[in-house]
Amino acid sequence: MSREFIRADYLKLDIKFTPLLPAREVAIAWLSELDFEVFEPTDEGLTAYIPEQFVGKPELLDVKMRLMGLAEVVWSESIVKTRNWNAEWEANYEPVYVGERAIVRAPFHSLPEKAEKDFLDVVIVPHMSFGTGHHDTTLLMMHTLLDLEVKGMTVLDMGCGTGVLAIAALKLGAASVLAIDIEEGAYINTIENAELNGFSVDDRLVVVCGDASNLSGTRINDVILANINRNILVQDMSCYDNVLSPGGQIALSGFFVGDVPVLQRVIDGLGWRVEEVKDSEGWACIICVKPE
Amino acid sequence: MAKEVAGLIKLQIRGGAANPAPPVGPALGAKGVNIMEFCKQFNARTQDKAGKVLPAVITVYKDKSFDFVIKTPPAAVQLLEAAKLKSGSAESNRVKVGRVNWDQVRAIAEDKMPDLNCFSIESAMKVVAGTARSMGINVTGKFPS
Repeated sequence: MSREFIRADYLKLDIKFTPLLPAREVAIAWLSELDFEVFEPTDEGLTAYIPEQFVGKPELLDVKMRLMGLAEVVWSESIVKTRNWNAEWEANYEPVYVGERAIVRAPFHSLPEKAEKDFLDVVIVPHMSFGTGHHDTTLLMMHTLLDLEVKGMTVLDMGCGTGVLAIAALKLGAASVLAIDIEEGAYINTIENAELNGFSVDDRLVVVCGDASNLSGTRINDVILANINRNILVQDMSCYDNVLSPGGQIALSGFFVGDVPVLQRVIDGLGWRVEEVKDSEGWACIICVKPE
Repeated sequence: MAKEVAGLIKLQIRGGAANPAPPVGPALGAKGVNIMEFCKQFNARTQDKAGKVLPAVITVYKDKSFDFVIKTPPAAVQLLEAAKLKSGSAESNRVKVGRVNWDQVRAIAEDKMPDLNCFSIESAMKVVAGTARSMGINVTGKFPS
């Protein structure tokens, strides 16, 4: 499995080969074994990137020496300073309306003038975290959350991203929210966004950088929200079950309609009852209840 | 009317592992695409191939929308997997550290035929076998006639 997004400086390898093939392909195969995850083939070779702290110089030198047995190699290394790569999109986007009940917006958007008293306003600065409402899964989860009536309930948000669902749950009157994300940037972003919306980390909001393994021994939740992906959900649903109260509700998303049967098997195994399956543009959201 | 294309981006990304780090972030971000949308979609579409290096061709349109196609892993990556090697041989001409058979070579050649510029499966198999040998992977048995 892949690691989470590391917001650190990256080592950039720029390699040229003469002849190009098969060296370029072989380089991709060998570098992928050193945990390089993304490659950009070029006309003369390739560029590859890895978080600076993840690569050992001896292993890299070993790959370089082996490639020199295949082709003439021009090898250069440089450091790419991390920054907000999504800044251009984040500087100018449209707010997202959740039906007529809520808006997810940036600080540079104003509230609609004719907003009703119970209109839910969530302000998000994403900074490369997931959850601005633009994705169908976030929108499906927002609609679901609005329907769940979380007032007075304990809520767990797994894979919180920007914290959009956690913040919405707090605004809807949840007794307390536990928000967890494996990515440190999302953990920080959730705290920042909570503050933008008038919440600080206290008894009502706990934010944790971690994964489902952090759940053991924690409190039991009335509602669980998990918009992640199929594989992580399948792996972690039994952990969610352990911290879901009897009669509690769980909403899952982050997968395609075609993946629903895979999740259904796990749901059946846990004995949850499917209340509703929603979809939008091929993405699905399953809402279940754990029997009393 | 078809949408106007702003650019094509070719990347090879491990299944389930797209994130905003370079080069995905800079390449898509510079074109004004919402990187997070791309990552969510790429990762969801590659759940069955998690961890495998997958070539992706991303089309970015003038309106900042995108779509992409995902190909099967490069021959060299498939060979490493087929040979169940931890890594290639240090001295490929002398030490044969891994092996594949011609059936495996044929399967990879058939899979990668569209990318190999070969007119026949036999010539594609020879190209794949050549890549294998350059990686220190021995092809066992006789070339099937």
